[in-house]
Amino acid sequence: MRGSEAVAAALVGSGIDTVFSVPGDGNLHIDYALAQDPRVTYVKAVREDGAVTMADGFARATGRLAAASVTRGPGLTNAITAITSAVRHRTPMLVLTAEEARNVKHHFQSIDVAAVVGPTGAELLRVERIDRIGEDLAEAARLAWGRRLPVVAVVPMDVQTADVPSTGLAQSRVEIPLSDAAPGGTSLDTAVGLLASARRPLVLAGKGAAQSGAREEILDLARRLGAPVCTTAPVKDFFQGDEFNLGILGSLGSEVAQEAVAAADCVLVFGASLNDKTCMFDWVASGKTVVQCDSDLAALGRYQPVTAGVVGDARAAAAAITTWLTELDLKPADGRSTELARKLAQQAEQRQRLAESTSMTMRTFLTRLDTMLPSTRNLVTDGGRFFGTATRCLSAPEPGIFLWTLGFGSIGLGLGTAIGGAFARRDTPTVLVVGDGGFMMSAPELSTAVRYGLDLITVVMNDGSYGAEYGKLVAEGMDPGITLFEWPEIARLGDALGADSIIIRNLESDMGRLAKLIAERSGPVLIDARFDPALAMR
Amino acid sequence: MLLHEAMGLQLAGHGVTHVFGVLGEANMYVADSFEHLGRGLYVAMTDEAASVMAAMGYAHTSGRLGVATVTQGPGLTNAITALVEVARSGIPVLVIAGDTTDLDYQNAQNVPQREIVAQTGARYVEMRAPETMPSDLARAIRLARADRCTVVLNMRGDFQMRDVGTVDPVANQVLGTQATPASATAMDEAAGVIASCARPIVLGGRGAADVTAREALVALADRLGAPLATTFLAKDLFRGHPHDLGIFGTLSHDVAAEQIARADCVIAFGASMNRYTTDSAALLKDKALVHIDIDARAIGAHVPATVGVVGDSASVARQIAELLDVAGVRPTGFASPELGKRLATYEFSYSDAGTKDAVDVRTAVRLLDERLPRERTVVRDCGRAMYGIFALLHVHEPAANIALIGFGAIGLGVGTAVGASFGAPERPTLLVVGDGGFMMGGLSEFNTAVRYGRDLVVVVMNDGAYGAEHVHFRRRGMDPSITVFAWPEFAALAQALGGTGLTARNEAELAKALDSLTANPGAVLIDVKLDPDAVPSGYA
Repeated sequence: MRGSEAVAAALVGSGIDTVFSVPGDGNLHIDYALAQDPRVTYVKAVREDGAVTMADGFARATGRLAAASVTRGPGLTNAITAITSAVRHRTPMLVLTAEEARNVKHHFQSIDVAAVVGPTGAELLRVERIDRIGEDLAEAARLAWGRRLPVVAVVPMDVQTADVPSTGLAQSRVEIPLSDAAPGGTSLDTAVGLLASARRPLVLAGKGAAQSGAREEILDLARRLGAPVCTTAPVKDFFQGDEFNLGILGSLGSEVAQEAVAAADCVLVFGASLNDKTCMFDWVASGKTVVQCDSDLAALGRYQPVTAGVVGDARAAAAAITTWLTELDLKPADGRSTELARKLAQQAEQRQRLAESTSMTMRTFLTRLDTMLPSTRNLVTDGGRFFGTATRCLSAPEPGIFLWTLGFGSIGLGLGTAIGGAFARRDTPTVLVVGDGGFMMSAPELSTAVRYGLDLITVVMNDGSYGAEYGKLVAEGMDPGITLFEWPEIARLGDALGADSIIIRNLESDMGRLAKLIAERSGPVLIDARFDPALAMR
Repeated sequence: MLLHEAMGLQLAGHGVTHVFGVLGEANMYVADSFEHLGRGLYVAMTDEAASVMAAMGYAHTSGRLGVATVTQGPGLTNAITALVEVARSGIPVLVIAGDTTDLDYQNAQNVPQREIVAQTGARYVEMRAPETMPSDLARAIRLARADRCTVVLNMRGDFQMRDVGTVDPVANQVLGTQATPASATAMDEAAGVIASCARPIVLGGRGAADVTAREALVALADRLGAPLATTFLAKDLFRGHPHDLGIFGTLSHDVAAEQIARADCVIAFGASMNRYTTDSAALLKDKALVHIDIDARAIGAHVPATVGVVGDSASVARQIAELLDVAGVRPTGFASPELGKRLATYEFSYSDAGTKDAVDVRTAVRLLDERLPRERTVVRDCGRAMYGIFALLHVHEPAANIALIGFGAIGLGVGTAVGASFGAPERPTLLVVGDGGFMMGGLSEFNTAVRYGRDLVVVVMNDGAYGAEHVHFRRRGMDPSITVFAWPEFAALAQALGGTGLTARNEAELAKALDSLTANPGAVLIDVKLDPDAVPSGYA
């Protein structure tokens, strides 16, 4: 057996069943072995950042370890933005790459791999001993899964070409469950004491709550407390269906949510980091009691001071708190009031009116689009000034999944993430919302979605500009000219890349054609939605 | 005056007329002021890697400093591959990178930019404070020009809006190469070695690729009776001379290779003598090497020299000729009339393997060489189809030849070509690129060429595969299917991107497409269909 074959076997042994790759001479033989293995879906991307974002989307959509394969040198450096982004999404994945044989003094694709990977925050692991290929890759997989981050595994060319014993490969499938430990008594005692004295409690859930599958337990607790519920942006549709769901809390939140957090005297937090996008002011300093529950000790108080911390799994903690409150026979607060229900209903009505509007703005278009898309769908948002609007106006209720791509604040990573998500959930359509600039940066990958016949609906929010920068220059009273682009017809480009494409300019006349395109799609489609950059954000 | 306004003016004051970039909040105000106050042209690229490549292409053809700008975080990380390539090119480029403010540690785009730049090989200059902008900018520009290197000027984005008062331009003097007398001892030794050789070759590298040096090297070669040759980077420097061997190194043609094998001395001017030129030192076996370079550090860097002379190419060549005259050394006759005849009649011969559905890549290159205007810029992306083209596609001067071979990355060509076209707008720019490379980095930037009305011909050598990898598998009797891609039709893509798209399935169609170029100004793409199993690899 060759080293490259042993690498492929070790990946399969670690539970990898899908690999996203750009083949080059450094990863060619590993790829070859992977592509030959009937247990592996081998996906070829156009660009390395595409391959890595696909793996990122795949891992997040499946909740499993994912893998990408890139060649040495430029193959790795092309993927740095995507790897940094995956680190910030806390995505468990392996990124396989190569290096020159260790006796080669100079190769034109040489680069200091450790120095390249260092600033990304990913772990680096070299597979250098031919008798330990399986063990080393199992360790890489364990590390990626346990620490929830990308591990770059470097396999030198001489290791790949070496003859290695075909026996004794570690078949250590990584199935270490996430911790479901219940919190300890003392911290729970403090938390329950604080909650018992709260008069206007609010419950906030983040990604940790979603990963733990704690929806029902947290809702039970919220009812027991008499508290409305809300979420961070990355898990925005987690409580969809609950009558007192305020939706996103923070910079993307609604007015009702802002009012609720301002009025709350106590916030109970499950699996949310409380960064400055969620907490727009210091809650403790403004007199609130904050109880933060997280499975990771290091997350407690990381961004904001909290009153009390509870270390434990969200689901177990919520259930335990509910039990304690029931034992105390505490009377629920009146946070889940008819008054709040009325405000939420008003908000829904406004939204309905927006859906009936005929002026083409990002809000009106996306609100209308939400009613036209298949009801079960995955949602992926790229970055740009449309991002907040898209996050608020479009939903992806269970069993769909919402994937955001702004961990590193980079545009252009949405298409790859959407392709990875679509591979993870092939029976559900995937909707990508992307700006014109982000689409032009990543456009070649649309041909990957076409090659694999994915059910992908790409919505390009096309205001012919770098919209965020346009808005800033206008706000400064400057000429926004340099942010404007005479792009090609994006719909025509979509067609040339093999996706059925349509231009939407008018909410009265064009939506019938759009409904037809969505209903009759048989592969990737692209919606080129046109906005006047000056009016788009109204 | 706000910093961005002052910096826009300062850039213009340093003679910068073009900036290639991608906007973000950390660089947009400077770009805006460069255009509005500095009266420069800001060229909006689609991708940060391409903006850095465009600055290099511009610098290569114009002989001036290339300037790019990227924003913080992902803006910089998107450019890493390009920074490595450009840092290895020896072309002066300044990259103005925005950065997050130290006061905003939660900023999603915050990354250690100094560490990221360090591993690319580019130099790093930090803008220390708003008030030091003029001196930091001047220092970065000076470093790039004087050391012919890539410099990243790192600037906190929030500095842009700081008031810096009135700012005087900073004088920035960088001299070009000047003639300097070489060491008399070294010259004596060099002349001695040369005089004792019977079969010398005069080799010119990029450090000798100017009109004055060319004349001096030709005079020396004629005086010695030595054939002339160049490195790949100085390709076509001696084109037209009866004893021009062409490229010295792994890309030499048969007649040249034979002559090089017989030589007993190489007199190299301004050439690094790297592994491609010397075929990992094999071509220098049993030969004396007289190595002349303006930079003492270049001598002995790759191979040991018999004699090293520090000096500029033109003066040293003239001085050697004078010493030979004084010593009465007679011409060697190695550049014989017979060699001249063989070189004159030499033609790269092959039997065309094209069919009605596939062009032979060698024929494709021959047609490009014959039918495009003689004065053209040629940009070569990286990939299997490129190797043969290295030798067969000619340029009228070495500065018009841009090869992206520093880091072995595909897909950097279109951005480079857009910049090269701005640097030499009077002539067309030809880019030769593989299908994988065009898809990876070319698609959006082809549209940039359209947006700016560039006279650009992109020839996609399309074997529908990652060709270099395809060959690996074929040679080993393995199934090459993972290297094969069902790409979209490139001609339709080019049309959709706003340019002209043409398809050539055979020689006649390619000839027709090339002949139609005069009627198709602007950005044109020609999709040349190759058979992935018929592409010869690594021939010359």
